[in-house]
Amino acid sequence: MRVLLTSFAHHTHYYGLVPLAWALLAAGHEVRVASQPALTDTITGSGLAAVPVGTDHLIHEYRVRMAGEPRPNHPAIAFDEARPEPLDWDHALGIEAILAPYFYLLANNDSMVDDLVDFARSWQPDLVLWEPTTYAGAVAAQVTGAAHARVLWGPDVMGSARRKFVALRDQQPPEHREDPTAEWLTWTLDRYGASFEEELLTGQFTIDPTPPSLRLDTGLPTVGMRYVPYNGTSVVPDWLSEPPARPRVCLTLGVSAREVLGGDGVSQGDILEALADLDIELVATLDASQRAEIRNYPKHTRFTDFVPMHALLPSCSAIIHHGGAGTYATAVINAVPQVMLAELWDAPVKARAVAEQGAGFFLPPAELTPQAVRDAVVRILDDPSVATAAHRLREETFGDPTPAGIVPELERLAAQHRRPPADARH
Amino acid sequence: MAEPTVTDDLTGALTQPPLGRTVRAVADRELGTHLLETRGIHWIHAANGDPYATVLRGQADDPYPAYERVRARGALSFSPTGSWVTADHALAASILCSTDFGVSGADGAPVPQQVLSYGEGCPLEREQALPAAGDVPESGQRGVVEGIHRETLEGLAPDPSASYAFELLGGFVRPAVTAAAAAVLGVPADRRADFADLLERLRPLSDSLLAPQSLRTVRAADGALAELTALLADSDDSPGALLSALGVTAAVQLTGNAVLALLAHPEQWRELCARPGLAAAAVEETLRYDPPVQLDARVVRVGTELAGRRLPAGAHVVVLTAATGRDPEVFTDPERFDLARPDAAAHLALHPAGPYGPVASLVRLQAEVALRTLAGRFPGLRQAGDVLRPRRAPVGRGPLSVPVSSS
Repeated sequence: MRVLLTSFAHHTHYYGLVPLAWALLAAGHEVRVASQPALTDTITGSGLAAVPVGTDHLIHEYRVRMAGEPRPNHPAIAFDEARPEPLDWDHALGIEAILAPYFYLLANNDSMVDDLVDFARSWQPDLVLWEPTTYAGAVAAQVTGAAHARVLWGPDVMGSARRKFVALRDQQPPEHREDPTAEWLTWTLDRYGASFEEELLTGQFTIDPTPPSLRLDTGLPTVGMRYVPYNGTSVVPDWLSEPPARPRVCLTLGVSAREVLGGDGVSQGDILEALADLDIELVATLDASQRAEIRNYPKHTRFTDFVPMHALLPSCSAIIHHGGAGTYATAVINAVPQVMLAELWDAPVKARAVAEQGAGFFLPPAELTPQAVRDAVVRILDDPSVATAAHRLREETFGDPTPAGIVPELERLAAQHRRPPADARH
Repeated sequence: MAEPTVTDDLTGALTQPPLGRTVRAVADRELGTHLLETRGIHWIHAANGDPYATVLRGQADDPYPAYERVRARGALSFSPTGSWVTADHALAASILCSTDFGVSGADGAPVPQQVLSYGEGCPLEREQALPAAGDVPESGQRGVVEGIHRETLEGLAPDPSASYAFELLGGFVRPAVTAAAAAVLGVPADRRADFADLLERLRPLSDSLLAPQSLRTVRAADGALAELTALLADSDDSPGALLSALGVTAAVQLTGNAVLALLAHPEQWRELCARPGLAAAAVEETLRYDPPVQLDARVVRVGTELAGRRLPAGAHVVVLTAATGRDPEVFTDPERFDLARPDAAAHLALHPAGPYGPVASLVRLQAEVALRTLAGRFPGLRQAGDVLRPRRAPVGRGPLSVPVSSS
């Protein structure tokens, strides 16, 4: 079959699709990956055929124009306040009212959607797999009749929030109802003679790489898939061949947070200082300018601009990170206990779930002190129950089929959901 | 919630670039995106603590607490939405009466703080010349309005001695006021259903200029404006007729607000029933206490000084008219609804220099007659369920529905 994968141009959002694309390719299917031009080299670098669509998105430019608004940790768009879902209608609507124009519409700019639909009309995919905010994929599938599914990068906060939003919306008097995302997709689909349906926001089914005990219950049809890491093109450094002489701890506050979101929100120097007297080997991903500001740190510290997590984490006893999708999932499959300084998007949801499983610690912004980070690391090194819980999560992950293992199921589901094009369905 | 740092630096304000063309000239994707982006900005500012953005967001049934937060910031404050805002009666009066301020900018083009423009045909986007003959309805209008209001109520409740439960707006106020306006304006009998339908689609018109509505709502209003203009084209004074028709919305809202205030103060309702001549006073007190047009936006025509601030030409100034009616510097016990208030008419609602100025007397007449008719027939009227209020309606305030009963 023909499988079209799509993600808006953001490399870490794209990486989650790559191993599944390889599996489909290796199983003999035709595979294309569509994104804005800025991602082309990243796609070809992952060994897949790129289809550049539209012009580049302006998410970063908007954020600059808007002087940092909306902040990703803005109270109006918090997905987690000790809860996986928004609580009331105003909160739920506020998330949509801000995310629709300032994320979804930007990530799926008009020219990108138009070109993707054109490509799908020409190439006629049987299945479209889309990153969970790249609704352009659902639009292209709706127009052409392809089956379509989301490929998640973490617990399904989007599906969960949407389900709650719809329930709250439908409790409102009709005069009060508002649905920004559906409005946008309605006028967008109208351009191609197709119509909106709720299924476009969550996919006909969902491929979820999260271990079952960390998953959010959305009631949506889900195919569990074992997470397989892809961290981009990488070279394994020599020093990783040597077993560490003391417990190895990784500190990484996330490539995405540093490159795009700007500012880490916490002083890395303070954290390094708090860890300075521990007998550990610290691997800290800091660039040269960040390193220049560091004064005090553990004696055995290795600074590095970048190291592929899938190569580093098997030798680690603990990891301190911000809750990014790839880092979190790679830590889970390598049974590494996690200290999560989580504040953005779905990170607090993941951190809470890992902490509840006993496989790590969640330090929300309000509780984040250098001492708290140190305490969590010491606890992980001293208390074997944390590592045991982390191993349990790893075993659970391995209970799901690999990307190659779900290909037959995707073939079956694609055949089941495949329809004629929208203009022939009336 | 923390109040944000007060700034008057417009360059630092997070505002939406203007559309630059009328609604009709803009494709769905551009207009829809503009509406969503503007609404998103209002949510962001409201979440950050700006009270005027909270007003524009229009998610609260009761906007008066937000008005008080504006008042607490001083006579004139700057909102990060890009508008200057006042709740101060004296300052507001000076703005509304001054020729330094216009409904539109000096060149007639909408300022960026106006979300969209329907163009030349929209009477709410520009000053209206006051009628040369003065602002007094012909006595013949009163007779027509009284007759239609009475017939509407008798049709709803034929037996004066029976008990009734009905929805006040849909059952009486809206059909009575709409039919009376249709009769006054000479709308042909076979077009009166269309007339009513068009006015319903135009209800959010005033709101849509400052608070983004859905794409569908805006398109419906734009189409309705053109259709209503065509429907009234045969009228002797068609621009005036169009404005009078738009006044129906204000009259319905004014009547609804008056009934709600009176039923919330049953002793005042009984007073009105005993002395129907108080209906005009009830209308004035409602215009002070909870007016149908809650705010008036103005544009600085030539650079001016205001409350010690230098405002350049093109600056957008929003008078929170509803809040000025509760200014404690002017009104004693402003939160109290009182038919006997001697100075109720000192309010600034339906200001003669504003868009509704030329039709204010017809709006008042409709509301007064509706109150008088209702009190005459249903002295035992009471609220019998929850009031439904619109969202995204920071300008036009009035209930959508009010379940009532009478025995």
